[in-house]
Amino acid sequence: MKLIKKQGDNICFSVIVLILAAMPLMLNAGMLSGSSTVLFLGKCIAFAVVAIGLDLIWGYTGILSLGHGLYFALGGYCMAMYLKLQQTNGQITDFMHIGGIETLPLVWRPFKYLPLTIILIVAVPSLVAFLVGYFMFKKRVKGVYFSIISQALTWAAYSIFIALSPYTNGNVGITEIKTVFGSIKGDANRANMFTLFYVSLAILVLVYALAKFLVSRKFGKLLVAIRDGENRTYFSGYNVSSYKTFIYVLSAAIAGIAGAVFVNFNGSITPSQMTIAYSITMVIWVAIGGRGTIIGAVIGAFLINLCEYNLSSGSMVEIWQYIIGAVFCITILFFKGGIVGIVRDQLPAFIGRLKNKKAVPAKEAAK
Amino acid sequence: MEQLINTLFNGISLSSIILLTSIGLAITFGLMKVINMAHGEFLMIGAYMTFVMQQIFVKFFPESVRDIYYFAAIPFAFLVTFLLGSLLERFVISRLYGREIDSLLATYGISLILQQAARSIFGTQGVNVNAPSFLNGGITIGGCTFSYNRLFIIFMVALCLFLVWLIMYKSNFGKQMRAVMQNRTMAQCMGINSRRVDNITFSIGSGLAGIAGCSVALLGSIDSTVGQSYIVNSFMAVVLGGVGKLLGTVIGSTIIGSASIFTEHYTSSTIAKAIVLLIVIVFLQKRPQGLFVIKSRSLDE
Repeated sequence: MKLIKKQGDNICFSVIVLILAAMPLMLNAGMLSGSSTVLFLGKCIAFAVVAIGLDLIWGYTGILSLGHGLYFALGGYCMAMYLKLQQTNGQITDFMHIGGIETLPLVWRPFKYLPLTIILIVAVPSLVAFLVGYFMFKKRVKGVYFSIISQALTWAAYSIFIALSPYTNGNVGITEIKTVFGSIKGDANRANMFTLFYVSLAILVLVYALAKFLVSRKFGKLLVAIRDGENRTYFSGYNVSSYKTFIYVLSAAIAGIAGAVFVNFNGSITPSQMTIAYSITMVIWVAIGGRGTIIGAVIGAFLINLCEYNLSSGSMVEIWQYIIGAVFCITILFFKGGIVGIVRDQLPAFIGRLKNKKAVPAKEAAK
Repeated sequence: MEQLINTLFNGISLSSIILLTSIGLAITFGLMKVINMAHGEFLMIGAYMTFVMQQIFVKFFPESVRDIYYFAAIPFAFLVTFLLGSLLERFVISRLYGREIDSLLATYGISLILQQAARSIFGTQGVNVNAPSFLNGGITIGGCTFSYNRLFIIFMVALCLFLVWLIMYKSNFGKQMRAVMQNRTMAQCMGINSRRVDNITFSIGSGLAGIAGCSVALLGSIDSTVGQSYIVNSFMAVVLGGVGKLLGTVIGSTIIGSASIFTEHYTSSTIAKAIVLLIVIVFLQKRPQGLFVIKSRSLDE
């Protein structure tokens, strides 16, 4: 019992990973109707990864970023550019032709090589996040001020990506790409898909482990201290802005990796992944799952997306918007800890109260 | 020269709409430490209410008086958004005092619901409001044309601003409001009903967003996302101007509005967004709390 209480998060996470790992096997055994479920779960893995990153800065450090879609999309674009060049054998793409570009632009050139691409997937979002973090946190811009700036940043980046359509293919985004492991369409290429799926799962486990490691150390305690009393942490002699910048950059890097995973399963990337609405959707996953617990972010990302996947078809699209809006609002108002908070704190407290109520009349009867 | 004046004119007209939306945001943020993400949706509701009023007039009134629908629409939009704001404050915002970030998120949930409601009621296609005939055309002075509807918007905003100033600085209620803003506990000790002050202030802010919606309706078609396109600028204006002072909001929105129109005119709307963002970021390096701050000795605000 004690073990369950202490290791509850990790046990829960292992269960999720085991279920996910079984999915391809079930597909092979013919228990799933098509490969679309596996592809969808692959996307969910990417969402869970970005949710972990978001939870590190919001749940633990109290920095609410309304622009994590930007970092997600930056990682995604890096991956998609590599995959597109694989398709065209390093030649310029058709949308560049239309945009009037003759030779491969300089920004596209590094993406001919996979190792360089992998480095850039982490480096590009990190660099942007570092610049933002450095200028914002050093000057102690905090709270909602930071949230609003991050929102505006995403807003500006979105329109820049659309305006640079010869380089980014504007609204359409980069489409018609295969994955890192080759085509995953059709039954013949199932092995490729499984490799991709298990590699993504491994990334999720690694990111989870990293996040768990960080927050269980003194570093994690410090993040919580910054969240709960930033000025006091300053007075205790810690350079809060450096810590904030570091965790923000780390979170952006994680988002970039998640974006790269996402592109492989989605088969395209569009600027709509870097809108404000998309970014706040990520915050919704973390909030409903349970902020301040790594497992909460994972649960939230999977749960919300599974619900959306099953509900938002046909006439349910309208109702889904109402549901998610209401659930989100109620979660913030009454269940600060999200699902994890309910299970961990509110439910035991409720049961305890029920027991007490029963116990009191019993005592009175005994008298 | 003529072009410059025209750009300036457009800048002022955009600034005035931004101003109307950001006054409510700035005051409620200064007063209650809550950020209302659904504020843009109040603007949207105001715009749709103008449309509704127009439909009512087309259906029930003779042709000759149809044009005055707009004068009926303004108070109507104000009233509807005022009441909605009051309800929102009562049931959601009042539970979120001092939880700035949570208030931002909870109201985002509300804005999702309101947007979907607008889509369910009015459809996903944009609807158009016909400007009243006396607002068509414009006056030409030395080669520059000032369109009547933009002039009307500027005039309307100036009027609203004057009324808000009157309420904030000359009325008894305004005195109470500023007292609560500066020191809530002390104001409560003096017998001010701070709950009531909060509620009315929030409702007035929402109502102003509704009026802003009326003016937006004159400028283009209305759909469920119309609020979103103005709200980011309004937020920036609040950040730039600081909270709690009317003048800060006025200056903040003027800077944001003119900067975006000017850069848009000489470059493109994309660059304009980036430059406005850059201005705000550079500015925050100097004054992280915005232009005007209510001075306070307390550490954690």
